[in-house]
Amino acid sequence: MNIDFSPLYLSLKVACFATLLTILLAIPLGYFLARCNFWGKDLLDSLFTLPLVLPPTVLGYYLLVLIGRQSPLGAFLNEKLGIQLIFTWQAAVLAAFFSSYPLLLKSAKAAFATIDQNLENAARTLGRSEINIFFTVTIPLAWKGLTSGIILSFARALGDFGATLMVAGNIPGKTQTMPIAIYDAVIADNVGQANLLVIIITLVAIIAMFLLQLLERKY
Amino acid sequence: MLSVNIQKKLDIFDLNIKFDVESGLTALFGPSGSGKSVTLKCIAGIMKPDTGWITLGDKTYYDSAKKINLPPQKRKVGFVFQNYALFPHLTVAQNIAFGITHLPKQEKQEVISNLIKKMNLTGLENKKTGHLSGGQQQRVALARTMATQPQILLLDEPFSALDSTVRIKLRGQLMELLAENPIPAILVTHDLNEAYSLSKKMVVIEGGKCLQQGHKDEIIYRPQNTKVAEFTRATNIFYGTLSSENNKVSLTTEKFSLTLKAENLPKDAVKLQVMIRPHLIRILPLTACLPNSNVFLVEIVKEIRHIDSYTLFLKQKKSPFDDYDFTAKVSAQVYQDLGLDQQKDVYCYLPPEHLTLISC
Repeated sequence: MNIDFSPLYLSLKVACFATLLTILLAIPLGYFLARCNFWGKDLLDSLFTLPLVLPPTVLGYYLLVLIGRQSPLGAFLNEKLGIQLIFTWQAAVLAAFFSSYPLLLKSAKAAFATIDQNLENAARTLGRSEINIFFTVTIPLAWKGLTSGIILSFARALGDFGATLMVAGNIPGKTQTMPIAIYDAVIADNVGQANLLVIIITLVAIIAMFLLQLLERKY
Repeated sequence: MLSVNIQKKLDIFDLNIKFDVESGLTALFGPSGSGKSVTLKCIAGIMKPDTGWITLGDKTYYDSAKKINLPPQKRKVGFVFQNYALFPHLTVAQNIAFGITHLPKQEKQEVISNLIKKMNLTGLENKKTGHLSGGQQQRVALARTMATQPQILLLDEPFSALDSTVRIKLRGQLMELLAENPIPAILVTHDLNEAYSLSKKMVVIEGGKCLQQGHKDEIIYRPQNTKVAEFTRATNIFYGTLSSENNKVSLTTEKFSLTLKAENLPKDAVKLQVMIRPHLIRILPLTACLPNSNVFLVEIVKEIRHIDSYTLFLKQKKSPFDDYDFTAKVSAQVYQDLGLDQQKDVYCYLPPEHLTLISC
């Protein structure tokens, strides 16, 4: 039997890139929301959480409007930089990113907020620089919350269907991720293919979760 | 010398604190929520005052006029937090090493092993701090701070979470440590005994204001106002009218009259307050040879037994009032010698030299 591994490969690639983007953006943002007080903070917080509560297709539609060729941003990217995002795997990364980052944002914010700030103050009186304190005190103390947030985000990114379908479409070998390939197989009444893909993605998910949970025990 | 003069708007009151600290240990004493900890955090640079200045010797930590606000990293203060603030993800040795990572390895190792030995932490070097007892955590916190050789030591209620036996031991250890490293230290506490027994100088703070500062005995025996007297648990405070005849100054309250020492009395004062500490009131048996003033025939109406002493509540025999008049404290030895368990009628004597004036 001839198995096409491209949906699996694509799903992992998209989920990894989306998670990387999430780590880089959601952790600093979570820190900012946990530590800074300003007018309209709660509103901003709700706005950032919105992708989590919106139906994925709605999120996908917004993305489509945002980066589609008719939108100012899409037009700018297309005409000035020659980049067309729609129906590429990069669009799938964006879709997965937007549907998964609130999970890390929430747990990062909670993890940073529960740290006893006297620990950071103690580090200050002991002469450590602010950036050093962030990496040697704050991050280790928030580690459990951060890693569980990363695990959840990765899982969510791996499983996105609606938003990805909206902006990346269903192009076999190019943008067809596992969830979409499974849907395709079911629609085409290809039960064997569907079963196989489902088993593969389940195994991959279990292995990925196991590996990420090893991270959690570091501190 | 540390010199503090800071103002800061807080939620419940405005902080306006001014005091100086010389060498030795100074206690910032006052009730909870009086602004002591905030003051300490301003000195360390963890919090920022609105206006004023903080200087240590010729080093300016903070000066609103000159727009100087040194970050805590540059102040070289040693801060011991109330909950110790040990790093739970690090071992005891790593905690102690935290402020001296810039030192060469050999030197660092030497400092750590010296402090481990001095603070009785041998054998715990590689334990995470969460597994330690309160006293051990406190010692790690002290060691971690002293490793950086601070120029001033700030202690924020360091003993409040410990049980009394550990507390007494650790107080001794702190005093030894300060004897070896003669740097100024500030101890924030709401425990009067702790403040008195550890410090040389006391600063009494309430509601963000500095009520009185000076040598500890001055605070205890010559409180400047009623509040200081109350905070320092003065119980016998008498308010009355001043009169003098034949070189004898006396204070007449609604219940009795007391002879005062004429010195140090404010001129042309009419109404004033005096106080006497309970342990300075003397209890005399009925058979005693009596001094010629300030002696009262009293009955012991209530008593509280402590381990080594008794607090006695004394009411004048002839008094028509229900309330007791004096609180006296006698050692268990005196109590036994005078047979006070049987004999409830005694004389009490308030020596005029111990009756101190409180400015209202």
